[in-house]
Amino acid sequence: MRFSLRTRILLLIAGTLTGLAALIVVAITLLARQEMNRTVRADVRATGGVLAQFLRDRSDSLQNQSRQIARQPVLKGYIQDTDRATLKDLADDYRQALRADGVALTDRDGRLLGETGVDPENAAPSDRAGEPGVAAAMSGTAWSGVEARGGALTLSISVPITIGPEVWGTLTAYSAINDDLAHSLKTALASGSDVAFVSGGRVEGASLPLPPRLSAPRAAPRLVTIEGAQYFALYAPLPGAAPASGMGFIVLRP
Amino acid sequence: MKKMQGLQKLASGGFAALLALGLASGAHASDVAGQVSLPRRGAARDAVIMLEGGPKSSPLAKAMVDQRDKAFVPHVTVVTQGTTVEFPNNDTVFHNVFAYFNAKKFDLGVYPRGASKRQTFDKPGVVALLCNVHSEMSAYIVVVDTPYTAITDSRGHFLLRGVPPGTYTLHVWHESGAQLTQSYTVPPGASEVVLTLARK
Repeated sequence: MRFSLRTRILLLIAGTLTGLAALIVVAITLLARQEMNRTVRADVRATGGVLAQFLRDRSDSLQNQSRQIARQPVLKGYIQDTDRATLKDLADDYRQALRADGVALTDRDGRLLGETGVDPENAAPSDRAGEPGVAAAMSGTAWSGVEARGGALTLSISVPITIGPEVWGTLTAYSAINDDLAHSLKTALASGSDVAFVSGGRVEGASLPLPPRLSAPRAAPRLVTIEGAQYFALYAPLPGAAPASGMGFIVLRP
Repeated sequence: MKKMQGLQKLASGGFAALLALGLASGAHASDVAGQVSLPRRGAARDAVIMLEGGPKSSPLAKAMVDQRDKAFVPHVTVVTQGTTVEFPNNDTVFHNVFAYFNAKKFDLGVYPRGASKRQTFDKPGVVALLCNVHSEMSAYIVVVDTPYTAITDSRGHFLLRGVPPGTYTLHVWHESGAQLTQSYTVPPGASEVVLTLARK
């Protein structure tokens, strides 16, 4: 089959135009993806920065107030007495004063003496000396960090309770990293992105309803569908948490 | 100052009891000198050394924990069971003395300078003294039922005087929580011992 010169010219023009159009579509797609990558990464950076500030402020506030409580003579007196019902009541009072989600008191060897939510009558002996915060406080140093506690993500602080130069006990206070914080974060960021806190892939708190488990890549955003809506999702470790701990946050960009 | 107070305490009660016991048993009393240290911290200041298993002690005729310059003085006091301790307030501000710890639970209330209160310690053990006005104030009273006790100086040294030779249980207490319990035989004549405490 032979085409006339005119037909060949037209075919060439059509092919060239089609190729150019395809190239433009590919280029636009790549640019759009690049832009989305950039936007989501910027969201993650901004979220990480604001979250770090949130956690730092809360940690400083908890630690300063806890230091004041740990100086109270009444606590120094009762920490030696080890009357568990009284110490549990003290822990409840301190939780309210600190506006924390929990408070735990141990003796100088890390044995639990009283904790909010723990019935002193039926509590089994609990050795907390292995917890990083309690271990640090037992050696006389204040500690703060993010940790998984009783199946929940928490910002925890620990301070020593000293009599004279010696440590006689420890006080640990913790605030949950949960839906409330995720909503506050979303409001503060005002980027339109949602935030979820995860520990080992399990969702511990989020600014939108999510399934119990959610995974997202660390390297580049991935498109995920949640309840029929699509989001670009990217994961980053929580500020102050070891990258290998699996404790992090996911930014979900609609 | 601390040494003087230690000597006063010995002179007031312990020494009389020691002398009487030594004469009664007819034994030749020995002196035990030693040094106490803490792991990783060196010399243990204000450690209390007790030799138990001998005769019981009598209450001391006089014992005192002063309150001045927002501190209890001395920081560690050893008294025998049944001793009444005086707590004068020689400071320029109000003070309080209370304790919830094992050997005695009491609260003397808040009282002004120039006033004094007293408390009898009738059970062996450790009493941590606190002031509910000044959180930085703390001290310890170690109540014992033996006449053979000593407190270490700033270099961890101690001297137990007039101990009849024999086998005793040696206890050492320190506010850090480090302690020691072991059998110890006091030989005739002077002897020396080096002790290192450990956490339970």
